[in-house]
Amino acid sequence: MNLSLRNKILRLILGLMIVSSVATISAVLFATNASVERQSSDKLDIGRRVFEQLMQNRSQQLFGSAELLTEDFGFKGAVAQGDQGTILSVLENHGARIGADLMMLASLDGELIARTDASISSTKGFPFVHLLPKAVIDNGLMTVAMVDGTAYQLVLLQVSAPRPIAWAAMGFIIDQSLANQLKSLTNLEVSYLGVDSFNDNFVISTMQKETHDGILNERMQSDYLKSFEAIDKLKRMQLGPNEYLSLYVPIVATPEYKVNAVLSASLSEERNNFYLLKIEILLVAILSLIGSFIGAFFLSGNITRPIKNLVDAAKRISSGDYSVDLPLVNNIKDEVNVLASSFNVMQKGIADREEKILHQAYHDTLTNLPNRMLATQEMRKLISFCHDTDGSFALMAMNINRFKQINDTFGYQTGDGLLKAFSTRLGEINKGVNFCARLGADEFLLLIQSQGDVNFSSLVESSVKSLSKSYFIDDFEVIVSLRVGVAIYPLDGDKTGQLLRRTEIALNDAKQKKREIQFYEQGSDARHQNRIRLINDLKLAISNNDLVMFYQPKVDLHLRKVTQVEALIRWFHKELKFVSPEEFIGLAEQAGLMPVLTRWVLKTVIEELSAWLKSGVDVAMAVNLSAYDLAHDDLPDYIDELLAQYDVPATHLILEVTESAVIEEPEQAMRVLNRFKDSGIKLAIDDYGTGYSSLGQLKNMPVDELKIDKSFVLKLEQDKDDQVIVRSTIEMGHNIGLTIVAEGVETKAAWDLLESYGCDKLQGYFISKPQAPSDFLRWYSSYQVDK
Amino acid sequence: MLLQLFLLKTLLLLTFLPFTVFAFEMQVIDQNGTPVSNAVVSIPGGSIDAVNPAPAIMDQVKRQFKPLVLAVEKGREVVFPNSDNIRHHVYSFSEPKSFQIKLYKDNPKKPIKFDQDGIVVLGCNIHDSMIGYIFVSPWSNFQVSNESGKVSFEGAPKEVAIWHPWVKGLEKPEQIKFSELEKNNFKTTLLLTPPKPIIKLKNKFKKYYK
Repeated sequence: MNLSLRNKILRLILGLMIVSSVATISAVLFATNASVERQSSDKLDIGRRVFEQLMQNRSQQLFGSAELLTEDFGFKGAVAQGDQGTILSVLENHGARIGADLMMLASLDGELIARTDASISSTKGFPFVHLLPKAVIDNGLMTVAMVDGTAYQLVLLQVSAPRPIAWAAMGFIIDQSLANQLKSLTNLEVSYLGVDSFNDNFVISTMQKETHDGILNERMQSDYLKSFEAIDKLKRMQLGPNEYLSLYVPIVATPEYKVNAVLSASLSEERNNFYLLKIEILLVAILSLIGSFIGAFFLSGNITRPIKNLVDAAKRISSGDYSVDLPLVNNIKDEVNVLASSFNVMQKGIADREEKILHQAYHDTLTNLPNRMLATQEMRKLISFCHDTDGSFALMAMNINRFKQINDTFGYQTGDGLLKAFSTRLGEINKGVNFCARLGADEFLLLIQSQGDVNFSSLVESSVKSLSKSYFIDDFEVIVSLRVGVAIYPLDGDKTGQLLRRTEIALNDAKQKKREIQFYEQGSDARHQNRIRLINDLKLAISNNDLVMFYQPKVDLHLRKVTQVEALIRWFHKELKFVSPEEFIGLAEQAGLMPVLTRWVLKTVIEELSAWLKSGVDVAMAVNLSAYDLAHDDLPDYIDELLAQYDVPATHLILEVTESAVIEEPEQAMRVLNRFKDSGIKLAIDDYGTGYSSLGQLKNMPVDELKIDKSFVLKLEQDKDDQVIVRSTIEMGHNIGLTIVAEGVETKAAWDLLESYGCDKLQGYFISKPQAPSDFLRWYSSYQVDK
Repeated sequence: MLLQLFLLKTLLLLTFLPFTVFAFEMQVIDQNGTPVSNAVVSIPGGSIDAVNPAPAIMDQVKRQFKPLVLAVEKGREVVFPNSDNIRHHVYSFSEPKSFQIKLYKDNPKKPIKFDQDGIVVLGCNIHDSMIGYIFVSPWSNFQVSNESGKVSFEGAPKEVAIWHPWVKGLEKPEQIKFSELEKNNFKTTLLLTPPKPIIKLKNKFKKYYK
């Protein structure tokens, strides 16, 4: 960009200079050419006047002499009396005085009387007879006449004694010496051209012989005689090597002959006079071009250097380097300087903002602790450092127990205050070699570093202890307890992700085991991984129909027959073969697969039930619902649709829910349960006795059945306590109008006991284990209650 | 002999008398019908019995010869008085009498005798415009026409001779038969070419060619 700007400036200046130079040179050339022509033209003009004057002078001389001659009394007398000898002597005398080339005397009729020897010898008679009529008019004539291819300046004067008696003629020849003389006076090339009616022509010229034809050809061709008038003009002519500007001076034109002069100024010669000037101007132009190039080079440099600096600065800034300030020229308020200072301000602004953004990217805004991203980075560094120094550290993932409750109890402000205070305390522990971060809402990370093989337990414990001390937030005393998962480098892993995952696993374990501090246990990770794999497989299983429904009958002790069947899901994993429902249902809950799974189950069993009912297997179907199923309002509608679709009466469907499923979100669960009840579906409380539900709660629930958990039934015949619990539960259930089902009935003794207690329905291996549909139907058709 | 001639003449006169006029007047006009003065009309024949002894006068007045044409009989003397207050140089290169009277004033010393007939053209060497003519007549009977161009003679000659300086190429008198004259009602026409005023080529400022 800088280069092109510089180039642009260079080009602009040079272009302007070239244009102006060319213009100047053209102007000079034009002017000199014009000047050459004008000077030549002027020269010709002056030359013409000189020429005319000289010719005139010669004529005057002739005239004067002729006048003297014709007024000489003696001559008159001699002429009058025909004194030939006297006449000739007088002619010679007068002719010699002026060096006339022609002296003649003729009668009025034009008959030659006398002539001197100098006169044209080849001509007989008087050659100017044709001029006499013209001469008579003015008693004389001054002219140029051509005789035998030679031109004369001529004066004809009458001799009177006292009446006209003769013509005297005096003449100068027009020859080379005249031309030379004129040339020396005018500094022009002088040529005389003549042509007569016999096509006898002559050229007398100061120019070289070779050019003569050119001069003649130019004007003296046949049309020359016709266009005589038009030739008094300037004309450019190329004669030989030189170019001339020529002026034709017409001298005389009669039907007999034409004579004219050509004055020529050499343009080439004139141009040569300007040659030096042209060279000088060209030199000046070249020098000024070079000068302006150098000047433009430096000027453009001066202009573009600050811009280049700005460009460099902009590039530097765009690459993230804000450290270098642009140099400012003091007290100069030019645009570049202003721009430079703006750049500096901008650069600082960008640097500040970037630092802030960076900080925000790597830090938690509330507590200003490093976030997971920074923590990961720092850990990576630390791992490589410890790897080199044989160091070790404990990585602790911490959860504030029941932080949600604290938030609910004290308000978000206090919650935030607690987080800040916690962070501050974390920071205090963290002094020196340690590192802490906030990973999530109430999840923190603390890294405690140490040298060599150290037992981290005490370090971890003391840290947790100091963090667990009560906090005073906005005049509230908040007591916190923590769940802490710990993984040790290099013992539990030597990779950042691995360590983080393992602390998380440890933390999960801590939560599940409700312990404050849980160190990572070898193998936990493998289990964890296994779970994840199972979740993936489960997803596939649902879509691949790898799941199957097994059915376990319930026997009605009053009717003494099988009236209900509990549908139980079974997953035959390709590799693991059998996965317990407890395990994969938990996984499905964690993986958010419950809605899909529940719908699949419901659809499968209702379809099955529909078939059974049609084939006369008159049983009601019990299906287990989880807390997740109750958390959504759309399940009742779905079930209604299924029942309608498969034409199954709602009374033949029993939905079993656990106490805990209801307790987590009681209002929501109640609303959904009531919807089921409204549809006519029966509801049962499953695994009764394991939760914390009170009978008061049960009373308010729209349930029909109570299923006593099998843990009370399995060893009923041996355990007196169980007998008491079961018997009282049955009594109590009956008292509030519930049907009591006991599951886990495996012995005849247990059956008998339960029957004696008044239990309504039994379920368990003693009757039948859960079976595949075909097995179940076979079993159903043959089963008889003994008693 | 002389008497015999005289008798013959008388006889002849008597013979033709009843048929002829004894006196006539004729007029000279030019081609435009304008009366021509200074024409010399003579009756050819006859001898000059006596020459007037008194010299005839050719005056020079205002740079002009006066008269323009002077007719004298052969043998007469002419004086050339100068009435101008400038000098003149009267000359003639004419065949009948070539002479010159060099620069003079008032009267020349002696008259010039013109004893040969013919036409003498007079010039002044100083003043080119001065041209005069002396008609030296071989005959005794001649007259110069006046302003009205008229001359009158007695008798009826066989012919008359007329000369005028402006008739081109007329070097001697032209003879006209009397009968011709009568036929023309005694008017005779001359083709006159008046000389251009003698103005010399003033070509000091003229172009050297024309």
